[in-house]
Amino acid sequence: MRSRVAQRSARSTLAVLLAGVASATAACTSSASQGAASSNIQYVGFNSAPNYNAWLRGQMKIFQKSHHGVTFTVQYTTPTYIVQKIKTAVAAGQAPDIAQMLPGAAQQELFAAGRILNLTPYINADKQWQSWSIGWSKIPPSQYKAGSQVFATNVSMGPMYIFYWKNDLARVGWTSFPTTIEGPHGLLALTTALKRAGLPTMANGLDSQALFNYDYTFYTLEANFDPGGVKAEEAINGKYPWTSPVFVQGINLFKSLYDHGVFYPQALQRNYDPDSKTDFGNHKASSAWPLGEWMDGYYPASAAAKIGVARFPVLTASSPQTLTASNDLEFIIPTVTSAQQTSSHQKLMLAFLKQLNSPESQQSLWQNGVMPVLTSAAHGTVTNSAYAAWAPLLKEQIALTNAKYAVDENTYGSATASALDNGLEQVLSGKLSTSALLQQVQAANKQDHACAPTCK
Amino acid sequence: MSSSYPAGRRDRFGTFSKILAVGWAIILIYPVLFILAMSVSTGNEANNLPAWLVPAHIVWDNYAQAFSFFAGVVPIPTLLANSAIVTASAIVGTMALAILVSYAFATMNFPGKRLVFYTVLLGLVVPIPVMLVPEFITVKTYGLIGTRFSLILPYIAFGLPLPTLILTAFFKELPKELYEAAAIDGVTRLKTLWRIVLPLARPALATCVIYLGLQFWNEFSLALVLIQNPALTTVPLGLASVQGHGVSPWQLVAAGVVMTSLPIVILFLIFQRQFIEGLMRGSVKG
Amino acid sequence: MKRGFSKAAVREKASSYLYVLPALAVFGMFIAFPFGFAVWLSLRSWNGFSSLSSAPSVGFANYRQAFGDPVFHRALFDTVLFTVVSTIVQMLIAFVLAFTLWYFKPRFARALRALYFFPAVLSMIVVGLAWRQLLAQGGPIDAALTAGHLPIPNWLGSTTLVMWVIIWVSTWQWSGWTMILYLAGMVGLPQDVMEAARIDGAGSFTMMRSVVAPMLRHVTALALLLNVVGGFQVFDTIYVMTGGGPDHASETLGTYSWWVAFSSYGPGQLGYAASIAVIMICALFVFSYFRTRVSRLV
Repeated sequence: MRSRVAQRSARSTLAVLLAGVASATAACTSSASQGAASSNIQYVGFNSAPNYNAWLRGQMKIFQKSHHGVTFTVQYTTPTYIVQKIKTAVAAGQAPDIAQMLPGAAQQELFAAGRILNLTPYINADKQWQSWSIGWSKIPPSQYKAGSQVFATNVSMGPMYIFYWKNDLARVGWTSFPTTIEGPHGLLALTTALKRAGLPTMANGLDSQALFNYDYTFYTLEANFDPGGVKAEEAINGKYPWTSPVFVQGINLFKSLYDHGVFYPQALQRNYDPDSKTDFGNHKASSAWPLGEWMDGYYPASAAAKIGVARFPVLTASSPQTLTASNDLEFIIPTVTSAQQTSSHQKLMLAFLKQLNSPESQQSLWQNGVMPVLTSAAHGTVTNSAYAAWAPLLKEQIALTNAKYAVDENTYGSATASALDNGLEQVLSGKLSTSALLQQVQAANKQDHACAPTCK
Repeated sequence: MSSSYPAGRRDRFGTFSKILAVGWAIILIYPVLFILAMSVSTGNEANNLPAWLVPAHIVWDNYAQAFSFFAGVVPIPTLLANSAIVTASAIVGTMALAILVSYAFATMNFPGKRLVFYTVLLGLVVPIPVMLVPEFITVKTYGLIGTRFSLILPYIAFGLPLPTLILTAFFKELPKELYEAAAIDGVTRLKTLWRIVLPLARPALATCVIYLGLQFWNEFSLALVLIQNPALTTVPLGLASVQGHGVSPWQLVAAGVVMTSLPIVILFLIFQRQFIEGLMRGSVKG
Repeated sequence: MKRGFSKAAVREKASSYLYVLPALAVFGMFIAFPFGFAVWLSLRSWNGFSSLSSAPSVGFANYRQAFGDPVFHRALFDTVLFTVVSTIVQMLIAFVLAFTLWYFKPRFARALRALYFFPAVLSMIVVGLAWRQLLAQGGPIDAALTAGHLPIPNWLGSTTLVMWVIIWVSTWQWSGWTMILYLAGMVGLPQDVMEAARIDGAGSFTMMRSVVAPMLRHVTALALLLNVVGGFQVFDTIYVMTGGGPDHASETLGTYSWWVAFSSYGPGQLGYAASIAVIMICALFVFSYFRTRVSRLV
């Protein structure tokens, strides 16, 4: 009896062992061997949507035609995890060859530590590349530059606009979205009219889980008193006091808009993604802010003709035009491993990044429904039916990018951002006064920069 | 469920517990139905489903769309295959090592035994997410980056402690006479383990295998930082990679979740009796 | 077999090490070594970008910083709260469910048993995502509350409510596991004790509380160990649902360590993150050692 039991169990254990060995062998043989003679470019990014993916793969194919023996491996992750992935790799002396990064402190620190290539000398020496990067001036400098040194290339734009339903506005007598806040045809007047007609107002997902939405709205409004957002940038870096009048005015304007009902009732509870987008799509709002060109694919093609695009209105007709802009695709070239520090490797990476900035590549972005940073490349009919309906709207957005000033999309000090965004929420809900908030922000800013507000 | 005495009579507490049982069942099913409902809704509806979870328009092409979405990133069959290979290899490795070391703890005495035991216990309390940078540096030092072993070996290490605890307890509970009889018969310790002890340990082994399988299949953080080659992407990583910047197509994500969870769920449904009874018999001794 | 110092005995002792060596080797390479590295790192200041050799040593400054850091206190509090509450609630629910299935033997008991266990099979990320969407504004729960004219709590956006929601989600997912442990224990109970209690006229509640529960103390001990260790290590669920927010209201030791190291809004200090991890691991180790007296196993 015992031996039979033992036999059966021996057989099954053997089966398990064999399975294990088989798996392990599969593990061995199917493990990737990095390219030996030919070069393999390891790409890591976080825009995996079909249109971005189609554009990228197309560009890789084109590059391979002119650079024989080059292969690409593409890895996608999410914006949440990209910093973790790259940071862990760099900490261990490893890095992808090209990475799509999020604008923020991590990039700046990478550059300060000399881990990514300084692109300035190469771009400056290349007149053609320079001519292809004229659109970069629309992007807040700290997203791709440290001082005057460029560490990231910009490939597409991600400015933030208002989408609105044309018929909702038409029902109360507006043919386009107001360009001013005050005045007989301004945002406040529109809001009053919409409410009287029983129509919903503007979706704005201010839920504190998406803190940066307070950023967008606040800095856009604050720029009315601070052209170009210069003082805001300085305050973020501890060089200017947060208690100054421009910020008081900005916050008070934000609060007055909120109290007037410009933002729809659930603004404080709703999230940027997906709440404001879906509310707008379901006609629970007549407009939504801030949305960007990548929101287009969120709605059925039939909606495209009914949607209009606008910048956020300014206070009065004489206030400075602003645009909350950012980039949507930016790339860095890590110089972490010894292979990545050779000039031949770097030449190859630079060639690829330059190609991504070429008019042809930018045209391909347009064809895939993404806003190119070289906006002049957005011409011609869009042949892909998935994006054709949205092309006119994208064109409108591109036209709107001819604003005079750009305002920073991000704040970089963690304590400052946290204090500002959480505090704004409390101000809007009436639990905190403007002056109290600004003092809290100033104190938080001091945590980020001990010399604040008089840093050099 | 092999108790042979009759069911207890229903009284007030009985009614209460029956309500709880039914209520809990509904509570457990509801989110699952929700995911299914999201996977057959349009984009807008997926984020606005009513309380009874039935969307106004049922669409089926989310599955096809999700499948091709994944195909552009990492195809679903590849994800499943990679997870299967890594999980199976790690299970075999962990079980082999755990069996050997538990047998040693349970039946042998050697200097330093306590120290080694506490060392293994340390593994139980080391969580993966806080060890990412050290793990990466370690794996890189051993030259394993880019291979499947970069995941499999750490998984084995993290998987060792609990099976070791369970099996050590189990082996210790076996009657001493069993070991002594084998010793008297002149059977070597290894043969005793292989021929006599292991067959008896099936329930405990099953418990460990199930526990490890779930742990390895669903592991995310280590996979995220260690997998450099997209061809080796595992399921949790693959799911994460389709949540892009700015737009989260929940209806597609839900469809992807259903497709990638389906193998495990089907396995579970087919083998649930063995699963659960294996767990039950193996987890607790008397 | 002769014990003592005979050649055979020495050889036997030596070969014992062969059983232990493979496990020890893997363990040493992939857990002990990284842990040692983490301890070493916790004594340094490093942002991960500059070279490791240039990272300055700061002694115990990171630990001092942790003890004075209000977010660390919050994370510690949240971790303990989560562990204690979810352990107790899970064990209670698990026990009552197990007793119901075992004692009352309802119809479909087998199906119910599988159903109760089922959520443990799903990935924590999937569960977190599902509940996050369920509780999202405009989602089904929202709709149900609105239909019932009830106020809608800000589930994941309220600093006071968020941790309870996370405790709930964890309970939802893992109660079935503990239930299986209890069921296993109940199935093995001696029938004569049951019969005796029943003849004495014990109602089901008395049965459960006074007869069965005491006899399953060892299951409770095991469940306690597993739940506490697991609770302390909770990461994926929280990360996917709230990222530790809002404003660190759902931060635990694990998520805080991650946040310090990798968040775009965090300081990016790997040394500090390592010190938090080391504190967490040591606390857990001490608990495991004392609470379970696992030493009895060797």
